[in-house]
This record gives sequence, structure tokens and C-alpha cells, in this order.
Amino acid sequence: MIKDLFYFPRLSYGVRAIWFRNFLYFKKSLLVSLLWGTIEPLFYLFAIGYGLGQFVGEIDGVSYFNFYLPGALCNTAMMVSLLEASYGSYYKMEHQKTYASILLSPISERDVVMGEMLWAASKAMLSVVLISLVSLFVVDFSQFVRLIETWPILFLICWMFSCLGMYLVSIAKSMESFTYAISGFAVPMSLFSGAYFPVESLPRWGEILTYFLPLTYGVKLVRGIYQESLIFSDWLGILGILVPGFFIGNIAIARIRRRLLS
Amino acid sequence: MAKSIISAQSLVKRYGTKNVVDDIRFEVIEGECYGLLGPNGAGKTSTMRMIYCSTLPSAGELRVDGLSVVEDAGQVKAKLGVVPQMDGLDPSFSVYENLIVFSRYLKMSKIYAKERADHVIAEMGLGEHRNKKVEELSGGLKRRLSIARALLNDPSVLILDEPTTGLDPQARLWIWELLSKLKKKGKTLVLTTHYMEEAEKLCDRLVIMDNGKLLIEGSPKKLIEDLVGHEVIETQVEEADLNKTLKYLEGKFEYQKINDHIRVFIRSGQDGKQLLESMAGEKILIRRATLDDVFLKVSGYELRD
Repeated sequence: MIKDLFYFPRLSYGVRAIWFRNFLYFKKSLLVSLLWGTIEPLFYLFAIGYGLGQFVGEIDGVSYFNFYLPGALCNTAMMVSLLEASYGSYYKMEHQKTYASILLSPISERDVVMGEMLWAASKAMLSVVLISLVSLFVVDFSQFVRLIETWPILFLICWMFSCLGMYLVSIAKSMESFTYAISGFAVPMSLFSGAYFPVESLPRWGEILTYFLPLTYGVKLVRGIYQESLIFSDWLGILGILVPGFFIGNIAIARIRRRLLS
Repeated sequence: MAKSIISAQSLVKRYGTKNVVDDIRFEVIEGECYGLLGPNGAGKTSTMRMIYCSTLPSAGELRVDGLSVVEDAGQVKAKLGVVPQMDGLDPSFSVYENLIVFSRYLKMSKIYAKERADHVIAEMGLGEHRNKKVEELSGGLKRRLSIARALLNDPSVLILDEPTTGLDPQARLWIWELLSKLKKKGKTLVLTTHYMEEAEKLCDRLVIMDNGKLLIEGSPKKLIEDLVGHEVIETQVEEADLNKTLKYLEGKFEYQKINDHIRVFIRSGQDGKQLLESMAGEKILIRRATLDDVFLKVSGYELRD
């Protein structure tokens, strides 16, 4: 239905209750959750940004570490939210039947899905914040302040990929389905969206292709804010995150709702 | 006048081309215990799931306290306490946490939630298991937790889908006593079960369903009296004597033949003794008529998958 496509997300009571359920579980498994969501990206940041960066020198007048840092944050935002929303939600829905038991309460199917999206986005955002904090070992204070200024955009990225993850849940036949999406789509996106090198250094056709990847807009914005080099057209990139997120999210909600009510 | 709390009109649930619930109507009266009986695949669980808004009706109307299960699902669910077939507990949490997490879904205040959680834990005898994880609980305890969760917001209507299936006799008895107690407190109970003894003990009224249709409805006592009578004589007859026996019964007594096994229904006013004497010497048993006899009479005795 067309109406489902234009539903505006709301932070209703039900959404917060679902978020709380996940938070309670997260607290129990704090170490494991933090390990793969934060420690792993940190390894990348220091091995590639710091280690390999020594041999790269500068890009556009900034050290490679400072070039790569915004990209690493975008990749973390994408990967953590995507994995949590896909594998995590699917497991809860199909194996633990958590949604079915939540739905015994007055909470609606829509609130369950939106709560899950908000949770996946929050968890990814926590990783982003922690990595930002750890980067204080390398960056100076004024750079750190600018890093904080990138957080709203990073949260939008987290939210967008949570929506995408839930969409994958809505079409998945089994857990294996996600492997295709992650290795076939998310991993290439993390490599070619400009996180590791400027997309302009790709051949022209390759550069054009990167503009079909939502993460490219995210990397451009986050890096632009961090390096204070944003131009107006970069801001338009925000639509490259908001528009797909909005529609994919609503399609996911409608599809999962139908699946749950069948 | 007794108030109808759940009412179904021309209710249909369709999967593909098969109507698993096929144009049924029923009313549940406030304060009664209403049973849905039937063999596997009869449509009991689908009917229950439509009541607690876990699946949408394909056609017809279903209302709980006047509210539509389609349009007012949230409000309908707020009135119900549901014990689903598979318990539906959150395995990530302990007994107490399961209740607290669920209280959030019910929009209960923190203080009230704690008070109610303690109350239902005590009521369900879960005190010593309070901090155990769901995985550590036995089947009976899981069911008790599932009932505790259903009672958390003190609902006026309880929906129980096979509440005693898979439990040992002690646990079953415990749940029967609990349900009688809840009924005395004025709660409306709707339950499905495979155990005729359970339905006979607990239900004020019941329906027997098969192939998505309602076959009969009434109080257990009345159904037994109307359809079977007050006593049943069971006998096993040799192939050779079968025709003779059937001929003797024909026109005098109502009976059901299951292979070489005959059940004769003795109505009030009929003389079972006379029949007993005439059949003396054969393998024979006289007993009180039960809901089992009603069930086998209306839904047949073929095995279902």
C-alpha cells in the first residue's frame, strides 16, 4: 500500500519499550557486543590508518590517519547497524520467536520493527562514539570537537543501514541470505565508498558507480565536516542517505508486519 | 443479562485456498470458561490467534468487548492475557526479568510493575526460581511463567492455547486448580485442549471443531446427556457374533462401532442392565458417559496428522 510507504517514524512508547528490551540484553553481554562492534574497527583504524598511513603520507593536505578516520567511522556505522539489524533481528524473529511474544502485548508490529531499527542504530552509534573517544590518543582536541560534529550524520548512516538490515530480514529465507548481502554488497561498499581512498582516484566509470552507493554520500559528508571542507553540493548528499533510508525502512516495516500477521 | 465478551460472526481464516477456520460464529460470555476442542488441524489455534490479534481474519468479524481485532488490535490486546502454545518466553532473560521486560510492553509504571511481578511470582509458586534463566526451567515451570506473564496486568480475559499439553500429571493438576481459582475470581477463560477430562472439569461451555467448522456447542454435561446419555457399555465382539449383536442393538440402542469394538449409549430411561445380562459372558464394561464419547461421536475416530 502506498500509504505504508510514507509513514513518518515516531518515537512512540512501543518503540522505546523494544529499545529497552534490547538494551537490557546488551548490558548482560556487554563484553562480547563491544568486542566485535568496537575493538575490531579499532584494529583497522590503527593498522591501516596509523600503520599503513605512515607510508601513504598526506591526502589533500591531511595525514592519512585523519583522512581515514571519518571513513572508518562510516564503515563502523554501516557494518554494526547492518549486522545487528539483519542477523540479530532475524534470529530474534525466527529462532527465538521474540517478536511473537512481544506482540502478545498491546505493542504493534510497526513499533516492534521500528524499535529494532532504533536499537541497531543505537548500538552502531555507541561503537562510533567509542572509536571517536579512542582516537583522542592520536587527534588533538579541536579535531575531536569536529569529530563530535560529525555524529549526527553518522547516526543517520546508522539508521539508514538499520533500515536496510530490516529490509533484508523481510526478504530472508534463512540466515545464509545475509551472507550474500554482506559480502556482495556491504563489503564492496565499505571498500569503494571513499573510506580508504578518494573516489576521484578511481577510473571515471568507477567513480560514477560509487555514487550509487549510499555510503559514498555519508563518507563525503562526515569527512567534509571533519576537515571543514564541505561545499554546498556535499550537503545535498544527505538526501542520498535520508531518501533511501526512509523508503527502505517503510517497505521493511510493511513487509515484516505482513509476515508476522500471516 | 450475561454480557458477551468475545463475539465471532462468519469468521474465516484462509491459507492459500484452504479455509482453516471456515465461517464460524460463537459468543463467549463474561466470566465463563469457554473451551475450544477438536482434533489436530481443526482450526483451534488459528481461531485463538485471531482473538489475540496475532493473525488477521480473512473474512468476517471478530470483536473483543466490542472492539475489532483488526482496527483496534492494541486495545484488544490490552484487555487480554495470553498463554500461547509454545510459551513464548524470552530466553535471554531470567524469570523476573521476563516479567519486567513484558511490563514495559504493557506500559506499566516501574513501581507497579515490580509490585505485580512479585505478586504473580508468588501466585505461580515461582519464588525460588525467580533468578533462573528460562532455559533452566522445566516444562511445567515455563508454563507457569507464561501464565504469570499473562496475569501481569490483571486482565479480565485469559486466552490459553493448550495450557497443559506436554506437562506431567502433577503440573496439569496444579494448573487446573489455578484456572478454577481464576474463574472464581470472575475472569473469563478461553482455552483449547486435547484432554476431555480437562474440558469436562473446567469448561462451562465448549465447542467441538473439526475442519474449520464448529460441530456442536453446549455445556459438557448437556452435550454428554444429549449426544451420548448417562452410561456407556463397551464391548468387544468376535467377527462371527458381530452381526447378531448389531441386529440385537438395532432400533433399541444407539451405538458406535469402532472395528470390533462397540460402544452402546444408554440414555436415561433405558435399561442398561437388561442389555448387560443379554450380553453376559462377553468382554464387557459399563461406565459413566464422558466427553470422550461425545468427542469421538462427533469428530469420528480416524487418526489425524
